[in-house]
Amino acid sequence: MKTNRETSLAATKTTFSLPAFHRPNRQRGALAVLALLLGVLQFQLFVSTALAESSTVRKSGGAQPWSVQVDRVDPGDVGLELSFGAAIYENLLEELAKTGQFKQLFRNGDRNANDDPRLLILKTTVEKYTPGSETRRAVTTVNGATKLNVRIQLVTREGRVVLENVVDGNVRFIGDNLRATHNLAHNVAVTLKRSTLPEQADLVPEQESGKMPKWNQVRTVVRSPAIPIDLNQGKETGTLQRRSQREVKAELRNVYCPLAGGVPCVGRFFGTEEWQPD
Amino acid sequence: MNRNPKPSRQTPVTSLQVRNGSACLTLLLALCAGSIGQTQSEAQSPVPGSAIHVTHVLGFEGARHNATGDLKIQDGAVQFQRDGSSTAQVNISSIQDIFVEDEDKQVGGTAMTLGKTATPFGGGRVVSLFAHKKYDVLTVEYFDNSGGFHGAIFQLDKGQGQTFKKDLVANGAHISSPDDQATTQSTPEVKHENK
Repeated sequence: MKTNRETSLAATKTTFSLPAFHRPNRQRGALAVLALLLGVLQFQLFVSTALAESSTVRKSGGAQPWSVQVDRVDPGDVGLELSFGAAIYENLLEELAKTGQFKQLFRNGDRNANDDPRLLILKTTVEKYTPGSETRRAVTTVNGATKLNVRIQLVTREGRVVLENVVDGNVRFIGDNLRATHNLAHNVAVTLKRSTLPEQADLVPEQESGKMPKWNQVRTVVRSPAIPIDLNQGKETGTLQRRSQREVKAELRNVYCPLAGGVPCVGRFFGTEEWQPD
Repeated sequence: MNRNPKPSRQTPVTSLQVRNGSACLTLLLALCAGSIGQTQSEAQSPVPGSAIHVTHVLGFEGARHNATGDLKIQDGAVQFQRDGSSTAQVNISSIQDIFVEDEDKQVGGTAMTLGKTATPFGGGRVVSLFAHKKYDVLTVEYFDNSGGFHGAIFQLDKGQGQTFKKDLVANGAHISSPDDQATTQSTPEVKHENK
């Protein structure tokens, strides 16, 4: 009986002291949960940061990122409005800055770019341009689109093309005509972001690496009488014939000749090698 | 047996829609007319040397996109002052080229666009026919202190571009071809496709 009473008393005491016992425990429990949540959050942040870093390293091949200098837009011979050239250039600078792909962005002519050892030059040539009308778009919905089509080239200082692509930028429904330049610049930035830029080692000239030059690939062409080039801004074609046992008949396409004199043109040879018996 | 044709239940609703539509259309036309009237009164050639009200589209260092403000020439520099805000400026001697083009744009902005979309029976398209306005687009190409090239684009009321360009040239701005003085026509209604 005594034991029973003691037990019941103890139980009563326990019952009465339970809230007092639980209050600090509940607080401690809440703190623990909070700490646990914070820990999980921190871990997630760490993991995502590490993943992002590793993907960046993977994309850039573990090397330092490139800097890029945006060249002035070559309007070609498509009758591009003058304001469009400036708008494409400025929008390119903004959109490329947003991607964060490049270490530094330089404007055309920026003297600071001369000190950067890993510099690529972005050249933009307008290939097609369809002037549109905002009013026609608003009235008809299906007509009056402004369309731009440009060829972009990333070239090294030495003139080697490391990336070449054709990008569109249109405005079909809502927005003024200059909106096409913004869309174009955005598409260029996305294209560059998706592409893999080469390591420095990939850019060693073929002659230095001891390999025979292959045709159907990008080569630097020095403007000379031996290689007749019709200098019509981006639409040059020509032929190259090497007089030797191996005669190379190649057609020169997609040549980019900078406006400045004395700068080598950059082009792509497509052709075949033929064995010429003595 | 009494089968008198009952009036359709749709009639009041349809008439309500028509009334709403016409009210919407009237409102939009009034807005459009007001906007055009306002711009026509503003579209006068500026007094040389005075500030002109412009919209900075992009490219002018230190100024926000699509910001409206005053553009003026002062102390050998082109200054753009946002409405009640700081001033961005560029030395006139660093200007390399100036172009003036015509541009035709819809007026009213996003609100007008939404209104036109909401207008029934294609009324918005009718409004669009009248709710457009011609602007001058002034493109100023200049170099910054590091030698970096910039292309700034401003939207001015029609007729102000040439006057401002002449002012800039008179104050020492370079232009590539002096015979380029005439306004370059950038007609948006060009029908050919350049390929």
